[in-house]
Amino acid sequence: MIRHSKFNVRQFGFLLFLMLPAVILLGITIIGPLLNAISVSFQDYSLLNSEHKWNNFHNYFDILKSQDFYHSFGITLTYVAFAVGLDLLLGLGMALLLNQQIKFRTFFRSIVMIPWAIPTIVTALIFLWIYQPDFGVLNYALQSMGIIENKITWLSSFDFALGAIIVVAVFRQTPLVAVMLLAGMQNISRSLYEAAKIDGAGPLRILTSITIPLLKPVITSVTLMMIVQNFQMFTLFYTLTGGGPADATKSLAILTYEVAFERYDLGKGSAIGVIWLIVLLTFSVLFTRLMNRESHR
Amino acid sequence: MKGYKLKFLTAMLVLLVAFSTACGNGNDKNGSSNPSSANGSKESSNSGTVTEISFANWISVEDATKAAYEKMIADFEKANPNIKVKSLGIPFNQYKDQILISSTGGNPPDVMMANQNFSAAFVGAGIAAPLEGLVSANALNDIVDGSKQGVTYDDKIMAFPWAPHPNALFWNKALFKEAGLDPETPPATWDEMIEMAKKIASLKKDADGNPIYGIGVNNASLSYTGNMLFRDVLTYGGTFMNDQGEIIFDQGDALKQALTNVQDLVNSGAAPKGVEIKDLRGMFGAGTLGMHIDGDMARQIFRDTSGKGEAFDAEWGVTVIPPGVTGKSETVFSEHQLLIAKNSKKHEAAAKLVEYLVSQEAMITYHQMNGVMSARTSIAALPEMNEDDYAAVFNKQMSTASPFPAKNPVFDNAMKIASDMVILVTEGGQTPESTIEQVMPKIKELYAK
Repeated sequence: MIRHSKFNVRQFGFLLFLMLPAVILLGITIIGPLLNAISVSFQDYSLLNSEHKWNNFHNYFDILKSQDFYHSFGITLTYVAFAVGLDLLLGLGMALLLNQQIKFRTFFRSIVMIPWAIPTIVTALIFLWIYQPDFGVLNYALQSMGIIENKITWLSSFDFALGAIIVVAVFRQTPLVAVMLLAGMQNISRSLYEAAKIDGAGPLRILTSITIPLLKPVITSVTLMMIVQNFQMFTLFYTLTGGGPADATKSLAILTYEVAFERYDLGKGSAIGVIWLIVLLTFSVLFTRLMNRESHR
Repeated sequence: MKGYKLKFLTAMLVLLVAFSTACGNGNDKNGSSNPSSANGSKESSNSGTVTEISFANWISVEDATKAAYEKMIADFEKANPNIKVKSLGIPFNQYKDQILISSTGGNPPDVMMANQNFSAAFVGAGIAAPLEGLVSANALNDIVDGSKQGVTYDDKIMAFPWAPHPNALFWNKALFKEAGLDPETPPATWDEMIEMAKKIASLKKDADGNPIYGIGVNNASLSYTGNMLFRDVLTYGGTFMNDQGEIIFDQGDALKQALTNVQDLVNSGAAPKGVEIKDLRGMFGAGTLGMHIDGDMARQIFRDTSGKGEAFDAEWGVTVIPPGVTGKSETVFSEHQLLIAKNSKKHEAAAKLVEYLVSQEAMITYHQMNGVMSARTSIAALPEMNEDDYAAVFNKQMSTASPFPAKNPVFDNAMKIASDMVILVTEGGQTPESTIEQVMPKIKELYAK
């Protein structure tokens, strides 16, 4: 018995020792900067001033009273809702198609990841040209087909700028969602589908009663991942519109960048980041609990 | 027991290899666009010491100025074999932020290029060194008065003006002719310029179906748009700030008239919508823009964007901005400036680079290749700097050009906010009055903090 407990302690110690490099790395790259950002958020920390005084919650009060913050929060929520919603819808459709016995299925399954493989900045630059009002292919195509009469300035228009960014995000992210859902579908036993067909269930009934319920764990993970990822989206907003026209696409990420590096107020920029972190953490916990509770019914 | 010891030793060996690899890869292999790699100081282990200094700039990543930059640096290194210049090329739109982040992070470039807006930010952030004692008194005393004021902060010269760029009016002779205008006669007044723009825009499209516009107006969400709005306000008799430092941008009618003019030009199709300076330069080079206001470096840019090289020079003319209500050719000049990092450990070598870049030799090279001017009195007067009509126009324009009121580091942000006014009246369809009411408080709030 004594020999057995000594062995466990040793093994545990050895385990900790092996985990140490990863923990140190995590500490240096994530936990350390996070704690530093939280500390900075309580200070008057300007890039134009070497004195950084502690100001308690002053930064937080300023931000929570500021219209800019709520405006950017609203833009971000709108963007996330549409981008993730469309990702899931189109991703599910794509996964269902790729799960069928179609010709060249293997080929399609490999090329579907190409948009995801292209770096976000490259995708943004490609779409900058597609959306160019005078020389871009989108206006050319729409005018040639008679869908629009006058050119649309997609990225400078108050009506279209956010939608244009959402389209790029969906273009890039849908393949990943599709592949993850497809992987989940592979784990659904074919016998369930066969039994359903024998019982006379149609494609829609099979989808809603078998496929989606059994995909729920995957859908939960993918949704959470896409929400967190899109909440943090900076590259598309910065490259395509810079937060314009006139703040129409100024997301939280752009606001944080502007406050920290254009207004030189790192204290307030950090405070926005901390508020954002609290919102996302709260959402993640509630969302996961909700989805888990439903699946335990 | 033996198995456990073997596992332990294997794990130790793996960790040791991992750590030594990670530590060994700490050097940045790609020096460009990464100011954090700035503080490389190579000392040759052979005879003589070679000092490597880093020079952050944006002209080395722009096609029009790259060749001139490389020649000047090559000439400097030839004249100073014990100094090596490591170029940190950063695209203009990200430049200020990258320099501020790297400098406050403890990795400043030794020498920094800037413009008036950026210099104010760098001086405000305390990352620039005063030039007295570093750069020779001869050179400092040779700076043109108008430029010297702009680089003096608390009686210290914090930046060396390198290349002032007054904005003048370029016109496309072929489009003028096609629109029934005299291709050799540019507009004599501001109002005439607007009329001509509308006449050219009535051509609608060129032979290839590309839209033709009469004049370029910056209306993208960038501080440069705000800078150009400031220029227009000067034409209408207004200004941004008075001598007491109060913001008077919205006082009087000038701002309203400037916004009304922009709105009218864009809505009537005389100017393209949602464009920034690089789009307008491309359009002028492509021959689809009748008139364009730009700096002296534009000649080389048009040669490149047109694809016709020097042959394109025959297709356009340049003149001073036509006078508006003030009766004077009102324009602004942006200015490239050079700063030395306060925390650089190589001030002597950095000062040598700065002195070289503003020297007669370098300025003549830069002028010959890009048409730039010098901010030094003795050099600006040289025959080599005034050899053709192009140079003469810009020298004349410089005499009436106003500097940006950029000493407060928030000016760049104020201009970015001001660009919202242009967007709201063009894209948003708002009236100039409501736009001014909506946006001006944000600008005043910036200065109040």
